[in-house]
Amino acid sequence: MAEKQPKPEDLAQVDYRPPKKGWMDPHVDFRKGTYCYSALAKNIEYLGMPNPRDWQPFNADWKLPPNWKQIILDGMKDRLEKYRSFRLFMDICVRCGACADKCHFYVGSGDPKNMPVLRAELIRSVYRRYFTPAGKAFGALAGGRELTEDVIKEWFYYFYQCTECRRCSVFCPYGIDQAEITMIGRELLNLLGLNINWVIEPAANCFRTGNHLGIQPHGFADSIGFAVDELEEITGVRVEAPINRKGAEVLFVTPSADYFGTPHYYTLLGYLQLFHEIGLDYTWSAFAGEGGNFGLFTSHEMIKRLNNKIYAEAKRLGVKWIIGGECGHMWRVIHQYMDTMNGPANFLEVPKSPITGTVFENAKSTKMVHITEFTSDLIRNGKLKLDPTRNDHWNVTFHDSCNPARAMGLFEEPRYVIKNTCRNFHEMPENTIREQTFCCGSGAGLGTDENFEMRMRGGLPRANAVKHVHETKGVNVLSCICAIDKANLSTLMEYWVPGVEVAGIHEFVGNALVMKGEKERTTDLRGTPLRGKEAAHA
Amino acid sequence: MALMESLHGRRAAILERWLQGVMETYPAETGRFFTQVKDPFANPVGATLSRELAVLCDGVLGLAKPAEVAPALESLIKLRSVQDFSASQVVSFIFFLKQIAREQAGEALRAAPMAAEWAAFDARVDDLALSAFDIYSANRETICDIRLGEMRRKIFMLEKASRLFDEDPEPSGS
Repeated sequence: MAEKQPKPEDLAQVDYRPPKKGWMDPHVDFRKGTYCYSALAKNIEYLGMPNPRDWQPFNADWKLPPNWKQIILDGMKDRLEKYRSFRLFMDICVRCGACADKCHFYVGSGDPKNMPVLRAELIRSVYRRYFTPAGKAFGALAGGRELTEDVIKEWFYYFYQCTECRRCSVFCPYGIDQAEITMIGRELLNLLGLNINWVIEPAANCFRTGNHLGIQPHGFADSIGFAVDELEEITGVRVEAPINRKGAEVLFVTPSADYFGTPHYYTLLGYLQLFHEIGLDYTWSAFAGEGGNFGLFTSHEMIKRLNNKIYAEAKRLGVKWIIGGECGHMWRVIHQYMDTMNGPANFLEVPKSPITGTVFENAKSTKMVHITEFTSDLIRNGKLKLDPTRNDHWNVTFHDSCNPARAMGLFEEPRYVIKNTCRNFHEMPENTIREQTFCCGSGAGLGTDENFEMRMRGGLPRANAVKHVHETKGVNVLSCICAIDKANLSTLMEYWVPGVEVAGIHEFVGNALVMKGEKERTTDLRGTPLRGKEAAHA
Repeated sequence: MALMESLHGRRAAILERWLQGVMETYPAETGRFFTQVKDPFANPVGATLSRELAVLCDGVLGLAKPAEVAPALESLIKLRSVQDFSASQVVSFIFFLKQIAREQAGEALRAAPMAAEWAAFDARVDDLALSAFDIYSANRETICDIRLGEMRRKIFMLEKASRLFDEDPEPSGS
């Protein structure tokens, strides 16, 4: 029988407001454009993780293992005993609301469950129900929630709507780190085989070939060789780019996007120029050809396994210390986890610049120096000949990438390098930079094509600040020091602020660097004619 | 004309009700945040909504030029095009104006002799809604283009390498 047909006057009663729904209701609509696809079984198997199977978030049946509930509760118990931080974060929140409007996803989407306090509450409510006397006795009255399949789906939806950027933690009076809660939430989901492919495939690739993209060693060498050839065409200088060379002083590790994607590629050209010009005794590695560590978005165990590859390779090659390139979350791992997971790296030496003699005391334990620390030290000691007019076609602003900024406090060095290589620089508003920087909206593995709408929502606060300096100061390039940023901010700018490009800082270094024996430069690294050299280029 | 002149006098009240109606298309907790936080960098959605709705309101009331209305509409629809709305929900807020204007106009102006003026007013609202839908459609097409561009950037080196081969093809027949 046909459903009852509405009358015209019923049709006129359209309510445009969203239905009222309490936060304890876990039901989630997996609407296209707002979630990432699931991890493929073959990638989960490759990493030896549990419960691999084919499923998708939009399916009604997620094919959970029969004892899924016990797996989650046991997993929570293990982690509450193992990580004091997790237990503390479950107990300590007073719901003051200081974090509520600080999340870029909440600011851009308006979904209340993207308030950090409420995102944490999704798991905290289960903790209360099953691990506190009040919750066990009084259930919902004590803020507890039953663990149901809908709760698991809700966790998946919202813990993969957190980029682990840690902006909210800056404002929390108790220092609750929402990223840590998201990480535990994802670890628990992993126990049921629930992860996203954009995280698990790169992690599996990294084990197999040494980089996220699955590029094999000869492909890696081809990419670097290609860059060397192109650099010679632009500058007239043939640079050396040694790979897997034992006995070099320094191992250089950078994200794989630098040698495969754009605009990352121009940053790669800048690194190659710089290391050649100062005569650095260094090597690339095809096996540690990835700075990124997607373990950070998977589990603590996976962080350790992937980070270990870099240090194992440093040991195998016999280098003295490591320089890390323009990467984001690699630096959170190095700065906050490496030392207790795989360190201290006592088989290496405390980094000392062979060019300036500067000892990097801050890297005494990890033995790994950030490229902008290294380059700013070179500039400060007058070791580079720079012509900033070669960047006059750029009007620059700087996006503090979340992890180097908030996780390691790297604020001044990137700005110092920019100001010495470019003549036009403008900061974005104060509450959108440095430790308060807004995330690009695609970190922690969320930069997928299928998640496009959610990324645009999450990236709005950042784009909005860029739009301001674009309109008021004429800014035409957004610089940053993170590979995920470079990929996502390019997309974000195309949607929100057309006319603004994205660049790495070492692209500016490469443009400005006056190399010994170079030919007259008429274009920048992108092939764009330099100011005043248009005729020569034509 | 009597109708428009009267509505001009109620402009502030119309805008306030309209803004409130648009805020109600978001969850209640969020509507409060969008309304109360005034810093445009801490609250870009709220700032965009209140700034652009004022221009659109003036446009419908004949107080702003089309050249001013177009960018405001574009900015607002761009925002709602990627938020959690269906296509009709993206543009629905424009129709709120019909009801709000009638509420604000008062009994005398709602009387039958004003029918022609109301029809003209409603046509202005409809025009705005149609333009909004054009912008929404264009945004969705732009999103497809951007997604394609993003995929290409990720395999930049592959493209670069293959273009090299294109430029230096094998001689035919060899």
